[in-house]
Formats: sequence, C-alpha cells, structure tokens
Amino acid sequence: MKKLFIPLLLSLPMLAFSNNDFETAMQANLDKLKQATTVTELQTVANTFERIAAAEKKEWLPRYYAAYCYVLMTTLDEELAHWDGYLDTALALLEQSEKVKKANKVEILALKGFVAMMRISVDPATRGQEYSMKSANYLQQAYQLEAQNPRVTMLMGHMLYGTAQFFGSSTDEACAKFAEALTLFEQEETTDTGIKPHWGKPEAKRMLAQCNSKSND
Amino acid sequence: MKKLVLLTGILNLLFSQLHAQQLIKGRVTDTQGAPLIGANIFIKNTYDGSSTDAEGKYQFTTTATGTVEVMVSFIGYQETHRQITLKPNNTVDFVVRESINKMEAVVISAGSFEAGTGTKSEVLKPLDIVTTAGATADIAGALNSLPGTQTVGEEGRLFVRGGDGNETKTFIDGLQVLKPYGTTVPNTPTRGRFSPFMFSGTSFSTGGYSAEYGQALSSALILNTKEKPTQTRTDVSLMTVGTELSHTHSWANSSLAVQGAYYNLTPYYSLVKQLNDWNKEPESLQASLAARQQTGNSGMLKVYGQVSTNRFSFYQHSLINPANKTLISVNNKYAYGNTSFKNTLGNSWTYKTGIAYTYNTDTYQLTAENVEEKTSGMHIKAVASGDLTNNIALTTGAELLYTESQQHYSRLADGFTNTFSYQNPLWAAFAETDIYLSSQFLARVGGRLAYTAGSQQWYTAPRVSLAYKTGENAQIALAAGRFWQAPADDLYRVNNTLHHEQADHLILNYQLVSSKRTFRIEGYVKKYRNLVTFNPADVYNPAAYTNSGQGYARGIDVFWRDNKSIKNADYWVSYSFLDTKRIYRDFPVTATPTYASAHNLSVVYKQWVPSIKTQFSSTFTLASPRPYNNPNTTAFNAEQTPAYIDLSLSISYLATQSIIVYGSVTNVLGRNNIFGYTYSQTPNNQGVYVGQANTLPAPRFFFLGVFITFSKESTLNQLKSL
Repeated sequence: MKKLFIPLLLSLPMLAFSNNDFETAMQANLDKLKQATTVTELQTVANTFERIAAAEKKEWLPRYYAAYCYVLMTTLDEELAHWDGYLDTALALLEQSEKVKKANKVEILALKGFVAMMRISVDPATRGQEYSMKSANYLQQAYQLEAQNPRVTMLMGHMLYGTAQFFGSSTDEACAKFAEALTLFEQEETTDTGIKPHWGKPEAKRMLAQCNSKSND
Repeated sequence: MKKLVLLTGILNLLFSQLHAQQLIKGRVTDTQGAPLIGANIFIKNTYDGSSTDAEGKYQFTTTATGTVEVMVSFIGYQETHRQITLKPNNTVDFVVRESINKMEAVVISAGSFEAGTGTKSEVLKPLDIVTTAGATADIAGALNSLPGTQTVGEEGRLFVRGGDGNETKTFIDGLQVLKPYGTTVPNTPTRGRFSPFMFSGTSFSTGGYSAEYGQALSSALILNTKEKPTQTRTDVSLMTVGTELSHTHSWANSSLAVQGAYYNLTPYYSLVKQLNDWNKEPESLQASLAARQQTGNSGMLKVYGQVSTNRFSFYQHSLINPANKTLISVNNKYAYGNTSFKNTLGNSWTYKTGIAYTYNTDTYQLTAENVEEKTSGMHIKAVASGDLTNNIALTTGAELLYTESQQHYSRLADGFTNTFSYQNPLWAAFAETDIYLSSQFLARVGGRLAYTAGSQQWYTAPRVSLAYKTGENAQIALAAGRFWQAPADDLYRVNNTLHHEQADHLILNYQLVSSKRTFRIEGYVKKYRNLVTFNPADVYNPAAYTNSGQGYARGIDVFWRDNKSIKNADYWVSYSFLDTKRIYRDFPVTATPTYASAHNLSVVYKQWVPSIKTQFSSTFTLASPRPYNNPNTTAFNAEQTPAYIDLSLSISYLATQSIIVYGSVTNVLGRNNIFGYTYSQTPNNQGVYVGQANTLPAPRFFFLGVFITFSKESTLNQLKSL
C-alpha cells in the first residue's frame, strides 16, 4: 500500500502552486531581469511578473518587480515621449502592490521616488520643481521608516546629485550619500535576501566612481 | 501485489497524462491586422504564458488541462480573454481592440490652448507664462503672445478674434470672476488681479468652447488652482514696484497659505519720467488666503479669498487749453471669494460644487462731480461628470449667476444726481457628451439653456466639436457653437430689458504635435447678432438702447513652437490675420473697431545658459495699423495709426538655490507706439477738434525683482514663479 501513495503524494503538489513554486518562478524571472538589456526583453520579464501577479493575489513582489521593469525601460529608451507611458504603468502597478497586506512600504516608497525622479528627466525645466519635491517626499517618508535601506539612500544621493548639477553647486553631499549607500548594500549582502528587493549596488558604485573621477579633475 | 503494481501504473499513466505539456501558440494582432509586440498572453490563474514576438507570434506550454481561460493584456489595448478546451496542440489567434486611453486619444483642439493641464493639447506651461518677456508675469500678458489675440497695447486685457475686451471671461475652478483686472488710468495697461503662481493649469479658449461656460461671446480663460502644496515654505519678493510676502503651511491632509502685498509706484515714477501729471501715484494693498482640505480618499475642498484696495489721483488737462486741469481721484475696492468641493462618486463619476462672489467699487472724484460704480456678483454651480459607457463620457450641471451693477452720478454745483442700475439673475443648465467613435475620432455634442429675468428670455446655445486624428501626431478638428452674453455693464444699467448679445462660431483646426514641437493652423468665422447700439445724443434714454447691432470676424491663426532644434532654447511664433467689422455701441455705420488690427505677429525666444544659471528671454511684437476716428473728417473710423512694434527683454538669474533675481524691460527700441487719438469733446475757436496721441505714459517699463524662498527643502525656489 505504501507504494501506492508515493506517486500520489509526489504528484499532488504539482496540482496547486506551492510557496516554493512561487519563489522558483520569481527567482527564474529575476535571473532573466538581470540579463535583460533591451526594452523588449524588459517587457517580456515584466509580462512574466504580471502573469505571476495575476495568479498570486496575496503577493506584493510580482507587481513591484513589474513596476521596476517599467522604470528601467526609461533608461533603455531614448525616445522621451515614451517615458510617461512607462512611468504611468509603473505607478499603477505600485499602487496595486501596496494594497497587498504584506507589502513592504519602504521599498514601494523608494520606487515611487524613483518614478518621480525619472519624470523630471522628461522635461527638467518645467517638471523640476514639482517632481523633485514629490520624489524627495517619497524618499523622506521611506527614510523615516527605515534609515538603513540602501536603495532609499542611493536614490536620495541621485536627487541631490541632479539638483547640485542643475545649480552648479557642490556634489559632495550627494557623493557622501552614494558612499553611505554602498556600505548599506554591502551589509545587505551579508544576509540572504532571496527574492526580496536587493537591486542598486552597481548603480551606487557607478555613481561613486563618477564622484571620484570628478574630484580628481 | 500485481494488482497493486497495475493500479500504480494506471495512476502513473493518468498523472503523466495530467502533467503532459500542452502547446499553445498563435498570433496577436490589432483590429487593423498589425502584430502586437510584447503583449502578455497567459492562462488565467497560472504562471503559464508568454510574450508576443516581433511578428505578434507567441507559443508556450502548460500543464493545465480541460477548459481554461486564455488572457491577452497589453498597454493601450482592451484586456481580451477566450475559453478554450486544451488539446495537446492548440492554435489560438487573438484580435485585440485598442482601449481608448483618454490621455493618448484624440482631443478637442479647435479654439483651445491648454497650459499646465498635462494633456497633449498643452501649448504653454505655467513656467512659460511667467518667463515670457514683456508679459511681466501677467497671465493676460503672456497669453497675448498666442495667435487669436489682438495687440491692444494700452489696455492689458485680452481681445480675442475681433471681440471687445469684455467678450473674454475669466473662470477660476469653473466659477466666474467679475472684474478680473485692476483699475488703471487711461493708456496704461492693466494687470490681472490673480497671480500666475496660483494656478497649475490654464486653458485659454479663443472660440468654440465647452457648454460648461456661458456668458462669454469670444473667449474663455479657464484657470485651475493648484492642488494641496506638499511643503511648508515662506516666500519674500522685493520688487521695484512693491513687496510681497507669503507663507504656506502644509499638513498631512490640509494646507493654508496667506499672502500680503504692498505696491507703491511713487519711487519708480520719480526715477522714470511719466507723461501723466500725477497728484498721488498708484498705491495698493492686497491680501489673500488659500486653504485646502482633503476629505476621505478623493475629496478636496478649496477655499480662496482675496481683498485689495488701490488708490491714485492725477490731473487731466484740457485738450483745447492744456493749462486747464481737473483733479481726478480714483479709489478701487475689490473682494473675491471662491469655494469649491470636488469628490468622486463610485469609480467613474466625479462631482464638483462651488460658489464664488465678487465685489468691486470704483469711485471717481472730480472737482465738480463724483461717479461711483459698484458691481457685485455671485456664481453657484454644480457639475457631475463621468463615463456612461467605455466610449461615452457625460458632463452635466446647473448654475445660477447673479449680477448687479450700479452707477451713481452726482454733480456738486446743483445737487443733481442720477443712478442707473440692474440686477440680473441668470439660471442655466448644460450637458455635454464626449463620444469616442474610435480612438481616432471624437465627437463632443452638447448645449446650454439659460433664462434671465432681465429680458425674460430663454437662450439656447448648441455646441459641437469634432476631432479626427489623421496620424500619430496630427489631427484635424472642427467646432461650431452659439454663444450668448449679457450686454456690457454700462449699457445694461441704462436699459435692463436688453436681450443678450449673440455670437456664432465656426472653427476649423489642424495641428501637428510632437513631444517638443507644435504646429497649428486655425481658420474661423464668427457672426455677431443682437449687439447693443445706442444714440450718442440720447445716452440717458433707455429706449435709445436696442439690440440692433451686428458684425462679423474672420481670420486665420498660425502657431509654431519648437524647443528641440536649439539646445536649451525654446521659441514660438504666432501670426494672426483678422478681418472684422461691426455696428455696435455708438457706431453710426458698420466699421472696423479701433482695437482691431489686421495682422499680428509675435515671436518669443528663450535661452537658458546653464554655465551662468541664467535664462534670457525676448518677445518681439508687431501689429499692423489700427483704425481710429477723427471727428474733423466725415468718414467714421477711417484714419489709421502707425504700426505697433515692440521688443521686450527679460533675464532671470538663479543666484543660489533659494534666491532668484529677475529683470525686464519693455520696448527696448524705444519706439513711440501710438494706439489712436483722443479728441476734445467740442471744437476749439477755429472749429477744429483738438487731438492728442494715445501713447504709454513712458516708452519703456523697467522691472527688477529679487525673490527669496525659505524652506527646509533646499531644492525649493521660486523658479516656477518667474
């Protein structure tokens, strides 16, 4: 009789999603995200996240990552006229994501800050003031909830850097933020974050290198 | 045992059957047959799915069996699903319909210039309004650089497409503002009473506007106030004409802003010589308050109030004998309040209610006589809008406009007094539907119905607009409608039973808008009827005022804007051709009014130089000769002024993140622009009416200001306010 149950038991988990399936699917797609270098590839990854989201109504991460994909599309698409479409979609996904009970408010606020920051680049002269305030607001709220989040610190550095460049003032404060962010990223790496957000370290490194090359000029 | 093995085998077979990979493939296209690239296709409630490739093709495998629901989703398209019963190989093609995304879809463009609304039809942004040279941060001043407006350099108000200045009405958050411009001396342009900093969106319509707006024959200037500010800040402005101080406090769900200003032109006029013979230069005090309260998830209560007072006195010299002079003292008191509430009803409906009140008095004291003019008005309005279906949106509402105006004249010598006044309640209802026949083709059909007690008449105003998208960035649009307006205060006060004046608009528009370039061309025909005429020899007799005037205006407006071709630069060019004639007021014959010029050209150029953190801006304006009437000749309005030419410059310098220095000068070339001539009311000894050129009191206007912002956020400044 025992033999009868083994195949049955082996088969049963395949009929419904387990938590394990969810994490495996997410991880597989996160690996694809890391390799995506074109808007189309990002769209494919975002689509997969959205499919997972449609099936996993109690998870916040699929929509969060889909939103992240749309924000990243702006960095790969030179046509500024497309940006607002990506950012609108990202924001809509984030608003759905934050409704989920276990959503991480800090990560969502940080990404909303990122969305607002990219809006500025579409038309800095007109949008600068409104969206720099919006972005600063989101990041400040996130910072108050969790001062140790490396992504929040890194994005704050970006905002300071952009503002300093616009006004031609010193980027020291911004660069200090990138250095702080890098330390926080290194701390984050010591724990296994799994499928939880852990992006941003290469960007902090890149900005820090830019800071250092400037100060050497 | 054998049986057991067999059973296990069957079960295994069964399960392997269940877990067999079923292949689903196909193609996704739009209704035109074009492939959709990157569409998301999947089986509902599973992870199984894929994205379409460059040919719209997809394929994926699933372990699901039986009847499943296959979904297709893609930005800009309606979510589509179909039930299929899975076989080992399945081919499922989808044709998906475009969803009508109102931001991307065709918009009503005929007659309207949007600023700051964030929509595709946006032409000028709030920042553009305040950095336009020659506008000196005045809304009407900046809008005067758009086609369809007439350069009337001595007025400062908006004259649109052959319409008189009072044919343009101003609305704040949908509610009418009476007397939106300050009181001024003749030949000195007035300024709007409302700071451009207050508004996030401006829609300037030069004709064919929505049925929501009535009581304007030519143009509606629709200003929408900002939403709740998110930062606490204090702003200080020091200017050559006065000083302003404002503080904004922001809480989680509410905000309060208070502002005070004091203007005095005495120091400026002592430095820059004026033609006017001032006794007391203009001095004014102004205070305002703006509050916002969010209620629930989507409710927003806005309260705004402004009070101001302005006084000045000057000597008016007789044209026949300039040594004879009369002292005229002018005193203006003004108050405006506006409260509105907006909320959503369910998912797709919003409603707005509001009440606005205006109070204005002007007193003119002369040595031998006094004139006092009082005008007040209330506007109560409720509007609901929402989607009836996916493709049809409805806006409907009702309003009460109550206006009263009184002019009281008294002569000191014999105690003679005379009062003219009117009280006019006007009820109106309107409805308008936006019908998206496709995302390329939009029809807006509506109308308004009004009743006034004065003339005891019903007025119907049908309005229709069509817009058709001919390409990704191009569209043509057509608008037609009927517009009514109560006669001007000075006429209506004498005869309270006058009918409304009427204008019919027909507009054809073509526009090409890409992200950084805009081209528009618009042709129009306007017919005026029921214009009020009176006999100038019998001005106190109500019966001498009748609705027997009429007229027309037709023309072409062209607009080109480009902030792409030159790095850090933005320029726009507006040209308007106007042909208009009318018989109204005291015109003895049909003639072109004195404010109308056939050709108007304006070129605005702005250059931002990042290395010195400075923006340079220049505006060139050219207007062809305007007619004026010379009473020494028999022909009416037959003389012509010289052409109007002006070049204005401005400079904004970002000293630090919180300090901005702004300077501007109008008419750099120093040309003596002549707007017309004023003649003596009676002839002199030689039997000649003595004329004097109407010019600005000084050829140039200089302005210098320093704007400082104090805030916890270092990135804030008044950049937007310049």
